[in-house]
Amino acid sequence: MFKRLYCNNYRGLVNFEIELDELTLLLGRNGSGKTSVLDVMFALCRLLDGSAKVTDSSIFPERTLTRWQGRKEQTFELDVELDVEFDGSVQCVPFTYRLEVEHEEGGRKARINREILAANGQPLFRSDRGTVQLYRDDHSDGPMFLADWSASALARVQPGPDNRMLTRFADFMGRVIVCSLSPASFATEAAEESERLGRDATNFAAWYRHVLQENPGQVAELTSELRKVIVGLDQLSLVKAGLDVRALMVSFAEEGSKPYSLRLDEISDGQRALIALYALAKLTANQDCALFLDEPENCVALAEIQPWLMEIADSCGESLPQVVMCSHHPELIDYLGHENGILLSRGNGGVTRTSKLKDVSADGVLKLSELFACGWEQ
Amino acid sequence: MGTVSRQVNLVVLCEDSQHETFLRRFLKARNWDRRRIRIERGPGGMGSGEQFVRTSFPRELGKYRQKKNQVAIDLVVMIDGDSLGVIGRIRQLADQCRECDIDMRQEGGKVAIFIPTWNIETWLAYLDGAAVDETERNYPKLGRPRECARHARDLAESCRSGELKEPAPASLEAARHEYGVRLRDQ
Repeated sequence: MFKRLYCNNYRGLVNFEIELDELTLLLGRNGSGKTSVLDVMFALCRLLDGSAKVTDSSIFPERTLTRWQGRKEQTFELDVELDVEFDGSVQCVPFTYRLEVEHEEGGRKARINREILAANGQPLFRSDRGTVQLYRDDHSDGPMFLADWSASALARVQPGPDNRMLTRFADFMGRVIVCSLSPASFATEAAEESERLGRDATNFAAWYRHVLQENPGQVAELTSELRKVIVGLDQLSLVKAGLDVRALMVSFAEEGSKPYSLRLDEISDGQRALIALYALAKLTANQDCALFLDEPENCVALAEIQPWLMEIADSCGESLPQVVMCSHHPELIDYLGHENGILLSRGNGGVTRTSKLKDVSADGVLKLSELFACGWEQ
Repeated sequence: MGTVSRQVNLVVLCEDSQHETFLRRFLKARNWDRRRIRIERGPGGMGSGEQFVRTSFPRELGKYRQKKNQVAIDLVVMIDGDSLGVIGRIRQLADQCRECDIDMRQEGGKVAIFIPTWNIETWLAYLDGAAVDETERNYPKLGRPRECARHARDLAESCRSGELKEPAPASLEAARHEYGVRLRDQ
């Protein structure tokens, strides 16, 4: 589970630090930095699973530098606690990861100046300007090699018997899902399986095609839940729509009418959002996935928000290790705000700061959402 | 084409997430579907949960009475007894209702009021096997609210078998009676 994220010189996140819990709700006004936190998490995860380079447009392009700072270096740190299995016993290991990125004048190039991973405060991996020193699980010196500065060298390390801790960390980072559901743009057809759900989840069908293989045991539970949520829904299926292409279909079997199927793009945005939300909750269960969701309630009927939140709250820390959400919605604010809420706000100089919502005074009469609606949360 | 289907049959009014988590897990063990339950809980802050439930109760009761002939709906209230105990807290809620010109109890009303005394931690300690005293306020809080799953399941099982292990806190016995008389299992 992620315990802490530190960022410096990334948009409004200057010398910024946030502590995360099993279930965290990020709150704050427009432009306070909530989405930036999710963007950093997305960038770090994709860099560390080896699917992206530092200069990619969704990772750390030059435009993410804090404009008023004029400095070219960005720093990111993660504190993560993970269970690691050693000789049949499981230990909770604290990991610390640090990444330093430097941009060239003009933004044409960027490179990773330094990348460090430690466990229990002892080194596992260190890369200085492309020179990599590996350490074994007992922290003794391992091999050295030269690496490409534009990508994470840690992501390139092959798993081996003496780097189980590093492998565990990299594997966990590859399982993190960061997305803002955009149901209107979900593609119905998937030419291949997609291991990773995209930032806007437009590849939902391809991801579903993948998790269907990875976690088939959960599909029955998802279908059973969706039958309660969407009247008449019978099942989801992937139907051949070309040589390798599969289309995600939603079958309905309503009482008194003939069964029929609709393509994913033929049902409503809200229904697509509900299918995706319950798929995220059910199909990632027991898969060691952390979820970071930006305004998950988008398009969802008011009556459906709290039951999904209950599902998440009940799974969190058990089948789902960690869920972090951003929202402005009163249902989320009132349900999670007081105990799980972190308020982001722009302080002096425009930089983002955090405070626990527990510190926001509540008088027992006004709901938290009412405080937010009146702008009295600050 | 199917629409979304949720219709609430049980409104839960409670102080905080520990109350909510315990109640929901208990209700789940008594076969209540999560989708039939609506949670209204306090906004947080020292002492504010109790105030929230007390002041919201007449309003929720009014809504319940207005809707109960159109929708099968039950209301569950959980509020700590603190120093007032079960009788004192019931009296206080009745006073609050009177001020709002609404009867607290009506014939056949499906309104159950649970009053853990001193507080929910007293019940949790009892369900953990401790001998508890309802005038003692400092039973330990759980690390996380969700850790009460086991306690809620054990209580549901005891209720099903009709007996609580003696000596049970009087407020828990009262709540068990209240559940049996006012609500129905699903």
